[in-house]
Amino acid sequence: MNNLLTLTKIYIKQIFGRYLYGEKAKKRGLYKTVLLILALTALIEYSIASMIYMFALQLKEIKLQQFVLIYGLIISALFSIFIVSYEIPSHFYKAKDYENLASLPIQNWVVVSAKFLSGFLTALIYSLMFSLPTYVIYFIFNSVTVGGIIYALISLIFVPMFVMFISCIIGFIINYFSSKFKSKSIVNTILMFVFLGAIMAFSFTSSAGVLTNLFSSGECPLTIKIITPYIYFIFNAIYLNSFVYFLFFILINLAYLSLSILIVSLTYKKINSNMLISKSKVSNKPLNYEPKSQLKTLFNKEAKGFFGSSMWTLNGLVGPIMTIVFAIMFGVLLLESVEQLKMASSDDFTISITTSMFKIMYLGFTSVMVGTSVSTCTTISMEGKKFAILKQLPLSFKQIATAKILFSCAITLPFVFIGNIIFACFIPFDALFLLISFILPIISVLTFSVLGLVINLKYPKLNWNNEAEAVKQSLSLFVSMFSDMGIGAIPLVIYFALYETLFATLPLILTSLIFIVWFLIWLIVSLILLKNKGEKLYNKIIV
Amino acid sequence: MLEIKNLTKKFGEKIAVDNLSLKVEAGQICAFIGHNGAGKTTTLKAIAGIIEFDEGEIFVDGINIQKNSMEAKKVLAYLPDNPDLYEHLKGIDYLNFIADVFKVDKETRKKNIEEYAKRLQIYNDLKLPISSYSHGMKQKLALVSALIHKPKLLLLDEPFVGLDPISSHELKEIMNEFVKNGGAIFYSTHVLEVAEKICTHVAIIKQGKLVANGEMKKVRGLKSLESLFLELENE
Repeated sequence: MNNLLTLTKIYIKQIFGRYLYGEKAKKRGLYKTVLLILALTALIEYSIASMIYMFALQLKEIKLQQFVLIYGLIISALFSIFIVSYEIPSHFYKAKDYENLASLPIQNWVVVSAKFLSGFLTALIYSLMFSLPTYVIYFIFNSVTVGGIIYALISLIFVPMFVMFISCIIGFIINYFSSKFKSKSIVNTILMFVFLGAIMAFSFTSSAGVLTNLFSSGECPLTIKIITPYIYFIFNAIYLNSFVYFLFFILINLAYLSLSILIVSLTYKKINSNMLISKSKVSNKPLNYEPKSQLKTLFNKEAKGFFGSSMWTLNGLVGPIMTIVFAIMFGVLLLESVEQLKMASSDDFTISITTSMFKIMYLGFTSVMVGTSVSTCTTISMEGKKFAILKQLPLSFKQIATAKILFSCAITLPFVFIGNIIFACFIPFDALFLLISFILPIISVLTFSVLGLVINLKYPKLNWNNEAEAVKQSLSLFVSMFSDMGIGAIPLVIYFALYETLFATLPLILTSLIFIVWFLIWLIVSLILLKNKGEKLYNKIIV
Repeated sequence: MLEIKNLTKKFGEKIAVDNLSLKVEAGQICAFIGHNGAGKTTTLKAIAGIIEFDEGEIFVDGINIQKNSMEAKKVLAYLPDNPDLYEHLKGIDYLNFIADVFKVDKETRKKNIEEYAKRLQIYNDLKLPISSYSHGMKQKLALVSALIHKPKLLLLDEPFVGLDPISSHELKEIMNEFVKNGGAIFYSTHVLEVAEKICTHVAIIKQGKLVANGEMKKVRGLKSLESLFLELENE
């Protein structure tokens, strides 16, 4: 039991400790750090609560406000599964501490339970982000009973068990299959993409389906009863103040918990052992000694590092892939809108400004999306202890930074360009727009790549135990993501705010130029930051 | 070849290296010994330009490492105690990466890689990914990578750890050849018997301060290096 507690404490400290005890947190002081975390949490919770509140208002109009609970818990489950299923695999199956722990006289179930508990805590935090405001909004719009509140409070702890169950299954399948292949990392990445894509597709279709059913029948949909019975049980427990349903809710969650632990316990050792075995075959080709330029060799190193890590690949390609999804989505929406306008006998001018608005929206949203996952914001962290290699070699900071920025652009821009071509197929041929749609992403991707690198130099995380700490949970990623989203979203917000008064009548070229100038300013600012601060930060990093 | 003048490196309040000065000339192998945490690795990292230091100067082949780090790094090679290499690369890819950085031409890199990889018995494993290497194999690969560009100064941090007896012997041979050809070696070690046999000079560090330095025979006198080290440690 002592081992379990010690290990759990270590893992929890590993996941959350840096926010409270990290270098920056120490400098800031515990009091300020806690305040900062609370302020950020309050902001996030307020945004989520507002969204759920809006939906509850709509439901109230048709007197179905009780179903806001089902809606919120579905969103909570989908969001948590999306995030946690992405983290769990590396937590259980590719952790660096496997060999060390395997050599110690600690039983398998202790290690698995400790990992499970710390993983569960992560799932709980993500789940609470949605479930907590959901309950609050539910009780605002529905009658409050003591039993209902008690059930709601207790259920908060149980709700993530379904998330852990699904995440464990996904983690097991991905790692079981990839551990059997020679190119483990590639198979892992492909399977991860397939699962995340499936979760996203399921999210869209199921939430739409559930809402349609809710509105049409006014009853809890059958899909919910079958796929997520725990939501059905807790909904009835709180709504009907029924202890029997609450008991069912507890029992089914305990079943999820047992099954999750069982899956990981049975597979933890086998998969991790397989991961250690190299299945590489020696090729018969002679050794290649062909020299390359320093920039090219650094670029290749970056590429091999990126594609060698399934988590980094996944994180870095989500944004670029989403730009293609956006292209299709905006294209279809544009066609539908134009069709509706034509049916309403709108004039050519109205159709033209609507088309222009869609073009700007496409450009704007694409710019925001590419900024959310530039590889540079984690590239220094991903060097880990190997960072010493770069530092000891006669390479200037400029060369290293250039290779990293170029690589970031090289993996992002092709997707954006493909998206542009797809989007262009939905609109009448417009050479000027096509040109802008190629220039703007080049500038925005370059800006975000430079800024991402500066941020990662400022907040490097080199002593990670599994890649998720560097790729998904680092401060650098969050700072970079929010800065990039902010920079990308501001021109869009201004565009919509001033649409009626200014942009509706402004030619597309001028609006696009404003966007280009905005990103150019940020590119210059980022380059100045990189030039003046980057090298100093680089030299200060201690390996 | 290597000159350290009044080197001081602090980590917060802790002084890791305290006003350290020493010289290693061409043709010399200088053993750098001290207990764990004495400041050996910190000193080596400072010479290699990996970490910045607070006071003092370091010259490699007359080049100031702080003022002209690029030029200084071109003439040195550093082998860390626990080589963390790019696991996703194959052995040959890593060696080519290092050769590209040092702009080593095709013929020279082929000759050097073949020579040292064969001598250290890792040549047949160069097509395998580094992730499949043992600690010793990584150590050998890092050694080959350090020798590709024929540096003038070799900085080795515990180079014999993890090596099999044949490779250990081969490394000693390589070190001797290296200094005979005009190079200099500054290396940290805990294997005092080997240091006594192959080193011309010795430097002993204790709590960041240099407590003994000079020609091996003069420093140890009639004592063994081990006796001297223990004596200094107990003072």
